[in-house]
Amino acid sequence: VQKVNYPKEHMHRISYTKLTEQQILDKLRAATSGPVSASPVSDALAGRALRIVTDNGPTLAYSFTARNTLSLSENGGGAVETGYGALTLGRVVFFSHIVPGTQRGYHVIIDQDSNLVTVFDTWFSGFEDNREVQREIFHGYVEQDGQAPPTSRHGITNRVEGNGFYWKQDNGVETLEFFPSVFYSNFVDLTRFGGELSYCAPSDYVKITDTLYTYARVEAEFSGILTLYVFDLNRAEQVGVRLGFDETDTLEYYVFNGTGESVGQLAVFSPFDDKGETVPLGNRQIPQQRGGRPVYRPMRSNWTMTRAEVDAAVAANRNAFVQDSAMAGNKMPVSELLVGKEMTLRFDRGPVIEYQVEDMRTLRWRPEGERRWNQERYEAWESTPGVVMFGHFLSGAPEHDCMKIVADFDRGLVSCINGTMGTPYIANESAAKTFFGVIETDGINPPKYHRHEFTTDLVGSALTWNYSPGLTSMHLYTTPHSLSWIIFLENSAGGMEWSGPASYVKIRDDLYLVYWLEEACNGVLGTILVNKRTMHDCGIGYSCRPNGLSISSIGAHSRNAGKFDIMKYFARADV
Amino acid sequence: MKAHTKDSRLTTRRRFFFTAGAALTAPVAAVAAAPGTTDDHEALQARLALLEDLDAIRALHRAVLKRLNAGEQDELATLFDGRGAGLADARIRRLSDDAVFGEDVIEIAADGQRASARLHVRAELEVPIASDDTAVAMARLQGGGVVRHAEQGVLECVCVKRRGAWKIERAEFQTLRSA
Repeated sequence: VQKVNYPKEHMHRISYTKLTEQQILDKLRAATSGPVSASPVSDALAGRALRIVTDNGPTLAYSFTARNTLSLSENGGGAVETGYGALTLGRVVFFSHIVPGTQRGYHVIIDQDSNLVTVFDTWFSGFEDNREVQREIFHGYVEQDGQAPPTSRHGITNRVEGNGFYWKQDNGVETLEFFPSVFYSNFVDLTRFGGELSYCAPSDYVKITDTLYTYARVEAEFSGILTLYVFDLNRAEQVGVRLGFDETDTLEYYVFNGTGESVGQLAVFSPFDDKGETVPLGNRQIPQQRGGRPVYRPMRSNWTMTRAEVDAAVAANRNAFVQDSAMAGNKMPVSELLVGKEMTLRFDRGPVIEYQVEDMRTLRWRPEGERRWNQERYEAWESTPGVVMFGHFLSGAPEHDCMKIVADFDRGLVSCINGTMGTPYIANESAAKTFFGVIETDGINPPKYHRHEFTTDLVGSALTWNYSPGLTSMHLYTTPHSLSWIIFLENSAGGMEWSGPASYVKIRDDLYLVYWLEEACNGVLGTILVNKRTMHDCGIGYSCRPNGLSISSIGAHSRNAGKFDIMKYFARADV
Repeated sequence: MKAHTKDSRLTTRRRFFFTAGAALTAPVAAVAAAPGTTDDHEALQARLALLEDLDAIRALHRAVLKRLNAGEQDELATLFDGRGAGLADARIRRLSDDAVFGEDVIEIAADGQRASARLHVRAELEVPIASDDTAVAMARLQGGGVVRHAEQGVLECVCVKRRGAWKIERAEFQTLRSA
């Protein structure tokens, strides 16, 4: 059995230090000797001099004095000496270095056959979190004596959208990396973070050749580390660099090579003629500052409330299915299957609740053994004959509980996602407990041993969800314990994405109860019953905001977007 | 192309109809051929000024479409009379000429200082999705979070001449039908 290094805190729970510029400068001093490497670095550039000309960017005159030292003149300025590390991947030579005495660095991809170059110009202290690496990408060429500059260039692309890879670097670090977007990506750090959760990062995809691409992500809102590599689609090989500061503020600056496996491809929904040479951002202008790009920063844009504020908001306003939001534009018809039923839901190692359902909107409940009934507003949807999902608040519960229940009346089985408000981290962040149990009512003899169970059936799958006109996302079920949601751009290419802890329960074949927590985000607990035969879901959102506590309907039409074959990586690490 | 007076009310205003984009080419040519006819010089000058105004208003309309469609809000504002003025309908994302759907009409007041224009356009409209759900918030960050549709209609403009240049005082899109 392989030992798994689960982290003390997951990435979204770590309070990363707000490093000062001086602290970063001090830490980068060690980087001037060049990046470390687990494998021997390449001497492909040793003894050579290159003048790199970029479009609308720097002109970089390099003299590589040895396999690990170079001198650089930027834009005709004075030369500086620094350490570097180079690696090759087929026709590409990649090298990385820091500019001494600065927080800047260059990471350069040279196609030795075409002499085309992509330069990642990176720097720290360009955002309010100094530790977050910023980047600007320049395309250009290596100047050749007596030759006219080439007219073609590397460029951004959608040609790898939908791909997914398992990678193992030469230092032993293993990751899963998914590209369901043209400017974001998912990564699952199997080595450093135990592979429980996936995370998302703003990302760049640059086409070098039809086979070779460059990928770069910055772990924005987390450590701020840059991971950048060139990879070969055919051979599943990579060379690249990692630069930044980990959760202990230790400098990570190393070049790596790695080998991997394609884990498959997801469907791509942009027009067939679209090569992804631009990212359509609709009416939003790309941030104009150097290196600007859209970055999702949920902890800076959502509400963070205290427990007292939560209690006050709940006391002032508690809404159960009051008004459908855009997330319910394609909701299923409200079911009357529960109307008139009297039943007890008996959850193993959980609550036992008696119900009387009065009409399509009103039910009464009480804990078994109590006399007093509580009345709640509810909604129910019959996803497949005999299986109903319904939800309601538990009035009076100190943690402002809600119940999201899937009851299978054909089999006498029931599962419940019990949502509560407040975590040790954020008071208006939902938490969830899962209970399995049985239905006791006239006409049902429930099973003694059989229960719904957690499942990994969906892991690796992607389903699009069209909630209402103009609002479509895609779920990517990234690990057995997390999912990611991807928002489509106006051309239906994958766009911004984020990720959260999740759980999957199998109700029947092709019928799954899924929840996800928008932790360190807006605190929502989303719960859906996914019917893969009708490709339609029903579900309930649960959240607390300054305007109150709410549970509300979710309903969307789905399309199958493919599946990554990834369970074998978790079988070692996580299941 | 048609550019002619239409009815007897036009003692103080002159109305012009356009069925195609090249509406002004022929009248200018016609005016250029006028010497030697019974028109006296003053009338000819007035007619030429009128046609120049028409040309300028059409050019102003094209500039509005170009700037709007390019998202150049600052430049768009310079085409309007008054700071901060612009299209009244914030839903409009793009406009394109739609002369096939109907005749454009431009009326110029007798003093040559004000005009109204009724210009057929196809409008691409977007309406923000009213929601604070996560998916909507994320969509907004990348230029989405809106419902888009197209309508055919007219751009009703009131134009004024300021220091010799035509500006739009008011422009309002009116739907004729969904595209």
